[in-house]
Amino acid sequence: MNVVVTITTLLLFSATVARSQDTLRTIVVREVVVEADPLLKSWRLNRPLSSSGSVDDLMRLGGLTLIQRANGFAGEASMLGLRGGQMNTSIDGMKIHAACVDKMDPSTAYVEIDNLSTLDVSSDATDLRYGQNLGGSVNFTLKQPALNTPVRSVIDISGESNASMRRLRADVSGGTPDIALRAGYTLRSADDMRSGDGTTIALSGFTKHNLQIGGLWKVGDHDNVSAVLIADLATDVGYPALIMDTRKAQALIGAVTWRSVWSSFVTTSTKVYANSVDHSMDDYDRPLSEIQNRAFMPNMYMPMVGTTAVYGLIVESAYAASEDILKVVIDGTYLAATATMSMMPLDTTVSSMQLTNIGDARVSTLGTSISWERMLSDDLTVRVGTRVDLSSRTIEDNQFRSVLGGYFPGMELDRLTGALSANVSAYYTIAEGLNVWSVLARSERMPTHLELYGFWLYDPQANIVTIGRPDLSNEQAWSLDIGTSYRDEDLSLSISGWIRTINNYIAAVPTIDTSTTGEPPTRTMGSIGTADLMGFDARATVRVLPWWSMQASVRGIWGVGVTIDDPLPLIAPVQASIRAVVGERVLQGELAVFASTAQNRISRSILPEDATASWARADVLIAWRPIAELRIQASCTNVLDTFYHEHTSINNMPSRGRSFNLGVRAEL
Amino acid sequence: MSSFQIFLLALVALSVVGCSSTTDPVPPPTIDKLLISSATDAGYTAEVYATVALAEGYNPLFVRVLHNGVALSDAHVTVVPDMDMGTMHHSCPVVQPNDSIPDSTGLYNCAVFFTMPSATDWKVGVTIHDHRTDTTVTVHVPVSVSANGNVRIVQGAATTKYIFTLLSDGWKVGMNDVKFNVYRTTDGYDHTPVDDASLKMVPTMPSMGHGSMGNVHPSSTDGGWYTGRANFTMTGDWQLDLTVTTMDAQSFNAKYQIAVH
Repeated sequence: MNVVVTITTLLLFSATVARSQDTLRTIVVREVVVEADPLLKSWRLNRPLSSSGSVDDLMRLGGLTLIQRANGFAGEASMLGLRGGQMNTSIDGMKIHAACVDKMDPSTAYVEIDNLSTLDVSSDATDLRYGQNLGGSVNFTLKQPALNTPVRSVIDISGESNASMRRLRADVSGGTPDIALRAGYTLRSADDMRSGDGTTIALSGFTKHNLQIGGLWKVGDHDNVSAVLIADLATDVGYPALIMDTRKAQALIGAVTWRSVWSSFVTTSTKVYANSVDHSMDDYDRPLSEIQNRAFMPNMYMPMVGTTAVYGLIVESAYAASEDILKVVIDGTYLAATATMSMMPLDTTVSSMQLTNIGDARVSTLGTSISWERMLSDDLTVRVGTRVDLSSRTIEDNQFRSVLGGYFPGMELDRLTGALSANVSAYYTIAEGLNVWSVLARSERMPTHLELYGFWLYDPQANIVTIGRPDLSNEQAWSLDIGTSYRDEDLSLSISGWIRTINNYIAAVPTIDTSTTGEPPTRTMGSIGTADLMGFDARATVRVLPWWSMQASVRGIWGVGVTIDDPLPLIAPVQASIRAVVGERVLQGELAVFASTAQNRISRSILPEDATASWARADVLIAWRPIAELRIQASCTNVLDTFYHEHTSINNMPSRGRSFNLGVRAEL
Repeated sequence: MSSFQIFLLALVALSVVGCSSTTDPVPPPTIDKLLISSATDAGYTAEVYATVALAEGYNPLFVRVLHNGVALSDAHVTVVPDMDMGTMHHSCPVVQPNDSIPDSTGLYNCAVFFTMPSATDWKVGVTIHDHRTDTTVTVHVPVSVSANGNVRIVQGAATTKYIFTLLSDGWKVGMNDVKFNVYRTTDGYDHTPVDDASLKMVPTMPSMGHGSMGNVHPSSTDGGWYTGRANFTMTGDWQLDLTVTTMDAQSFNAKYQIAVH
């Protein structure tokens, strides 16, 4: 397993390269920089083959699994069997909470691939900078305006045959010695998609606008201040696997950051940020027959509205000397979240209803993480890290408090809780290019506000209704990662394995017997005891010829709820990929094959699911850069028009069938 | 001081007192209640007040009795509602005034459980025993009672009937105190509160096919009253399914439709 993978996106600039070098140093224990791999000289630089330009594709390249609910839109990141609150997902360290209680608007939906500098993925519980996690940390680092750069504009237009997916990207940037600005706009739109069997999946289109504006001011010889604003608007996003569609999802994300170089050893960064997400969904576009006949809450429309607002402060400081690196991060956030659902019966003699799913939950968290890395010798580096959090949780809506209090009489709804994680890792060089590493971590994470206070949240795959539980205990995990890597001029190899045992595993526990009432099964969040996760990851890149590189990877995950003897749900089966990249700087071609074994180890009680058949998919691409400023890319994804769905696709929503893509990118 | 001066001072003092008594009369007590109806018989007037218009079920009433326009402050007042159904009459449960002295506004507090709605057929009989004159008069005050579905009358063993009354309240989302009252009668006039029944209450939402958790079955609090708690998790049409089991093992079911806002 690549414990930390940094994927650098297309067309990185000098500032980013410098950052990468810094990143290399700081995570010297076990970093593999996919983009920087000289063996895979793709100037496409891991750009996904699809011209949809979604960060979803990028996250897949980073080893993440996506829980799919829509047509290539807003997949929920899952990492090595961890998901939801077990992971920490951030944008430049900022926490952005989904407003939709059905996870239709994960924070990753608000980042466009062209606005990314790096995607940092950590799967060994060592990255605790921006939040507690059990071994899954994903941070999207946004591109920054660069000082001393000429005015540059980019326009990128692409389209796909499947779903008539179209994308427009416009970018302008530039900087003087003292000030730099950057603005980018992305429009993505798609009609209903077609699956590999030729079926058009109704209500699977979407339209999405994203605007990001950033500025950088040099306020001193060693200080600069940057600001960023992201405005994202998605409309009419179809979720065919669910019972409702997003009518509108909008996010406003803003941050101001002051970076200071105190000396050649000490740097600091202070970020103040705020964001708000408003999400509304409904079933107004669904056929009347579906409304009348669906299993859950038939004969009524049920629009839902959710909002979240987050205010945060991140103070980072680093001390880097020849043999030591010390990093301290203070991370404070305040979250307010509300979600309501209306129910409007088709029978007009029945009164309409309104339900509160989250009654103004407030979560205030203050965390501090410290990591210290020391090079003990030329061959051995050790690193220790820890994070402690203190968090208060409450709900402000008095009626909601009353409802939830009725479900849990005598239980305190207001919580003051904390979490402590710590890890130690070692990296040892056996011989030139041959390294081994190991990480031992004890991790802890606090329940999310949905797990504590969520009320009547519907899971369409399992057809269950879940209710939060205010006295949930923290999940605690012990994990051990071990791996080795080898690299020379023409070959790189890495193999790793890991095992993780989680106590107080939080899941929806059956609590109410509804077998005789006809009601949907209702579950309350609780602990199902101990769960184990383990897996392996192997990958290799080889330069066959100066113009021909090959890359292969295989990954497997195994998870089980030990106490209740049930496989963990939404665990991807063994997956493999092979990529061949040929060509040089003017003309390049690529062939990629992705394959997955069947998944027959399925959860039957934790979150009932069905088995998934094996599948394989091939993509091809040719890219031509006649001049440095112009790039033309043509590709075909799912060449064989394979009909398949991933195991983590909710309600077995099929993946897209064959699609021909054409894109043109010009720089001025 | 001469006799004349004393006379003059006394005259001035009297005139001052006299002016005061004529320019600042003691105002009649203000009644901040809704006058439902009134009637007069033999010089005695009975006024029936309430906080809201009368409806089926439990109605707190306030009765003022006057003799020749002057509020009585020492009378024994008894309230006996009567429903004229043409071929028969009956009454309903009543909580009588418990004192012969009214409050400062002249009101006697009582309560009536109207068992059915009617715009014209209910009369509240107010029997007044004027302690000053030792006179007893009954004044029949016609009242209008609207429907709200809060009362269920079930037939028990032999001639016994049970009256279940839901105390209507402004139902809201969340935990609500729910009060029921249970009376029994054999002749329709004498009603006895039942304090030894067992009540089970289940809130459901028929249009949604679900109920809720955290509900508390009503338990007796004396006077025929039972208090429980219902958790209404959302706005809309709810139903309270009530099961009443009496000491003699008779079991009755009643459903109440309520709207939660």
